[in-house]
Amino acid sequence: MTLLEIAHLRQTYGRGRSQVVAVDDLSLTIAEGETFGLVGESGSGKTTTGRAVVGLHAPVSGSVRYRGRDLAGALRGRAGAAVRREVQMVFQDPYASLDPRMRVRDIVAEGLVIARDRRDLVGRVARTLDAVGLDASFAERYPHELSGGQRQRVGIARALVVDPRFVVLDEPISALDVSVQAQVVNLLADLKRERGLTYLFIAHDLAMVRHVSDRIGVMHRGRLVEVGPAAQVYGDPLHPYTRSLLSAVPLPDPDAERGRTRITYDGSQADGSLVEVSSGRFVRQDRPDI
Amino acid sequence: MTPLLEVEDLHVSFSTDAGRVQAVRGVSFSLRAGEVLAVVGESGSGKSVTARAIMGLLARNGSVDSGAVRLRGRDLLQASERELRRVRGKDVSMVFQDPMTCLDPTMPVGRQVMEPLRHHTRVSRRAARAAAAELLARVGIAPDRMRQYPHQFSGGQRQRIALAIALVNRPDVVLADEPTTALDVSVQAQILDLLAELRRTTGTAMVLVTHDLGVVASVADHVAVMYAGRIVELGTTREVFYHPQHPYTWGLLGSLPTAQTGRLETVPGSPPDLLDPPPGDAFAPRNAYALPRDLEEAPPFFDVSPTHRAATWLLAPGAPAVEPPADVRARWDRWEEQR
Repeated sequence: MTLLEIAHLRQTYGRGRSQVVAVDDLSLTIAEGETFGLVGESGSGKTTTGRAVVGLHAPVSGSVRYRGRDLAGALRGRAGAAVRREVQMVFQDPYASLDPRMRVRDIVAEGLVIARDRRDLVGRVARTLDAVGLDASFAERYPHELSGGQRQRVGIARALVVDPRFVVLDEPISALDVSVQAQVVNLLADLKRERGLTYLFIAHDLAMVRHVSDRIGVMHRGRLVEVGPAAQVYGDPLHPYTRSLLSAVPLPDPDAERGRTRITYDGSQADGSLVEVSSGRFVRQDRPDI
Repeated sequence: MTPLLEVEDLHVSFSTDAGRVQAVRGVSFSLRAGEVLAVVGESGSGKSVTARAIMGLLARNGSVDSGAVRLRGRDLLQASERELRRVRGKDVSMVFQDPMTCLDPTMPVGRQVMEPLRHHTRVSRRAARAAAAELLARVGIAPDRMRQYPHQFSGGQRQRIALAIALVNRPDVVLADEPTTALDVSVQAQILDLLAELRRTTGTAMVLVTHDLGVVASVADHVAVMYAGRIVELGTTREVFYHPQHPYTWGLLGSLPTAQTGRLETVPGSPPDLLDPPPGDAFAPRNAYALPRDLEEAPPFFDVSPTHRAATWLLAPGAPAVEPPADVRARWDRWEEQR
């Protein structure tokens, strides 16, 4: 069942000559229970897309539909607070996204307090901290007393305490050490299974995206160039930009590195539209590359 | 052949409100001309502090307690600040993760590349400008942008300018602290290609501090794995990737994502408090393969090959044979096959 549907999304910043088109004509659907990985480089529009999905930015044009209803309308409507709780976001930088003056328990409780849902507040905060692997002693601490991995667990607890259905993870592990990244990825997988969550996983770390995602979308200059099952996009990339992106990632394997060749892609003139080339597999048909 | 750079039993600590943090606890390695040594480990393992101590650039509350850093046989730790100023930016230079650490936002980038050249050599302004223009062109910055300021460049371009500043005096050694961590993969690929080319053409050696094992595999000749202020394993890149011996190295390699979905291997627990480091192998409390002796007595280095050593009692003569995790066993099998 489709949980989220983005149709012809366009987002711009600034106006006039200095206007930047961050996302252009982006369409995709995410099914309930799925992890959709959105990859691309800085400025490709992936974070802007994530922010539109949680309603942080209203679309300039196009639509974001959640459970079949227009998200912006649903958030404004009578059930707005409930929808707000269903769709949550975890941010990239656990150092910047936690208020340094608040204790962990208050940071995690904030979503419930705002929703005026104080029933068993202390117990729910404690259970959520426990679910992300932090024991009760963390509740009284401040962010500066925590390691990067612990802070990101707090960021995840803050999103989960309101029982969301859909979580946008914007580069949730890129600020963390490799060994801590693995812990957080495992935690996200456990939480997804236990709570039946759906994820939009935004990242530039292609290896980790491949590991966690069912399907992947590759963004370049505000547009999707390729969408498909994770294994297919990695194993057999069709769009030249996807190929160049994959060829740029150094592999943690010295022998493979020795034989690797890099592919470069200049798609500044490319302007095609997504075409389904096989079941569930979409590639942008650019002239004259393909 | 004497090594170009030799670090011997380096100890660095920082004084804090809570006491002295022993950030580096006896690090030794050497580097020959043109070699790239990658130093890997998690945050707080002492890898960046080691690089900064070599440069004499520790924070005010930090001090080198003992050890030696010899460049062409001369101990930099015994040098005066005045002598060090002649070495820094000339014989040894440094590149940081955030290029704005070394770029002056109020000065045109061309002048910033010329400055170390003018500071260290008696070269005319005109010749310095020509040299700066040539070097900027080599790192992919058009010389007609020399009059522009750092904020007019992208992150990747700034890092390339920082690299040009570090290389303008053709140093013997570049210390690069996470130079590509903040960059996109395609920009990272350009910088790594550039480093490889510069090393080929100028013979500059490099200490590359990174946590990205992909970057290590792509550019390093040797790898030092650091944990809690010590090197726990040191070998050629192939030895460390395909024949790893220290259980911490096993954990680090095991936590990499693979094509298979499923659980990633993780190392339980967290690093020790360096205010009061444990007596034995600092990794032992988190190490399922630790021997009782690892908890009590710090293991010395045991040689695996002339170029490969690791500090774990598992390698001591008479230690029980241990079956490593399956993914490490697969690496060992591959190593054996190719011998």
